[in-house]
Amino acid sequence: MFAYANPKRFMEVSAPLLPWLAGATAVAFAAGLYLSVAAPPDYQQGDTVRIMFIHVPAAWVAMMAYGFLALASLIGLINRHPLADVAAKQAAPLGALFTALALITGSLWGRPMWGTYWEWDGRLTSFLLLFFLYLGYIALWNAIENETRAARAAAILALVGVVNLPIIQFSVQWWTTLHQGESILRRGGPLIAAVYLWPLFIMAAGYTLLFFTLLMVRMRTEILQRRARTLAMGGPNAG
Amino acid sequence: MPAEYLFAGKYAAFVLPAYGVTALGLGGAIMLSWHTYRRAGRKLAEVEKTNTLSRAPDASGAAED
Amino acid sequence: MSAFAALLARDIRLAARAGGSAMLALGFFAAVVTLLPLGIGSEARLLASIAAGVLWIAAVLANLLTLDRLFQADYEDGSLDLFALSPLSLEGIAGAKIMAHWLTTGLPLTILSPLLAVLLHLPAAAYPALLVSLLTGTPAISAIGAVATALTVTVRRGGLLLPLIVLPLLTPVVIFGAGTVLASIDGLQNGGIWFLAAFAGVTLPLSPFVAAAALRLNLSE
Repeated sequence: MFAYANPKRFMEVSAPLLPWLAGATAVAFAAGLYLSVAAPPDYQQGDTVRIMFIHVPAAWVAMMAYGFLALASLIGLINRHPLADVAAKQAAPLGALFTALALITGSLWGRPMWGTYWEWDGRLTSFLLLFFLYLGYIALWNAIENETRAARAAAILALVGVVNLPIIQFSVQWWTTLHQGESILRRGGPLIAAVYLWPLFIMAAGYTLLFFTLLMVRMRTEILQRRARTLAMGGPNAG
Repeated sequence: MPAEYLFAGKYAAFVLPAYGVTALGLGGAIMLSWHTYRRAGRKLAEVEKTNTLSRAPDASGAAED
Repeated sequence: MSAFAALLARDIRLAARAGGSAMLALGFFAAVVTLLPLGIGSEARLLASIAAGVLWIAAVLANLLTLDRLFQADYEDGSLDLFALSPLSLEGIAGAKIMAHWLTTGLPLTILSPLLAVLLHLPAAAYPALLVSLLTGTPAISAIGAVATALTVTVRRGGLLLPLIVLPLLTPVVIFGAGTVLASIDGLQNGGIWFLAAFAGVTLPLSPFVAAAALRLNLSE
């Protein structure tokens, strides 16, 4: 993994990889979408079950992205790898996007199922807080002008956040048992029929692939921008 | 693929916006990322060109290298 | 006097003087609690049911208001660089600052809170829980806040950024703190106070180190 940590090496390796990654994403999305539309309506949830195919993968990727961001931050902080800093920085807006999509689609699923767009349930509340963690991280990156300094500060924040996330989740869970009102219909449930599992998994693969495709494009963008900036300032060894 | 599946039955008012918002969000991210990527590539090429142009005659620009 | 005690005394003196951050925080705390019934109505039952949450949220906001000056004022006038050159480590500096912030914000807020609780018709049974939970939770607010302010110390107008960074991290404090008070209204114990104590117990010893790491990267060129 560290063999590719040099930005120059990363540019060389990622260039031929990018079309394949993008292609795989497109194939997974095409197959996933077809299966999502072709799946029969659930006997209980009716057609709203189709929201699951876009909601659950978004939620998965939103969480995975924060784990990725924290890991990249750790590597950036300890090994001082500029590439890890770039990866963490570019993962954040994507993570925020997937979190927002998970929240919105969840809300649109909740209306017909629970009778409300918003329920202060443990998972929804944790996700809203995750969204704010992402926003805070992005805001800190943008607020500090010095790039290395911003990277370190943001990395510390990401690590504080990832340590706090389980505690936040626990506290929110504890809080919902405190305020438990009417029992809400558990969506999904432990048993999902196989007709729904396949579209779900393929869509999840598509979302994950899309995350990494976009991450790669954005990382390449950032490296190109940095190179252009160094060159414009007269530094001969950009990159 | 029957049309009623596509229009998501009586829950269409929730299913279609969910897909619509997702398409908008993901599509927007793809377009934005690609657009800035291309622009960054063009900008770098431009800077590289002006750099070599200004350097080639006297070669003093990269003297400290 | 040790460097730690000297810094602690200096910060307390600065905060406690007329117009200092201690008075500011208390005034803000009282103003929020006063404004609330004017906004949502004065019915005693309604106020009693939200008193615990209001007092806790007002306490957190009042803390936030004073936090952004924790390191920033000293950073801007260069005293932070001088402190860093003193025999006291950055960890020690952060520790002294956290302690001073709590002594001039969290502690006065806690002492004032029963008075404001009267205005909100908080049931009598909940007063001990209110005091104990604020006494346990406010040090954790100072600790987490110190980390966030250390991260944003070079940012001008960092005060606007601070709430966004700090508030998600503070949710456990608000939940356990207000939850403890809520349960005590009905004479119940729900364990919230223990979770709050555990949270403070983990946050307090760790935060000077994280804050010092953040200061270190911001002070180095």
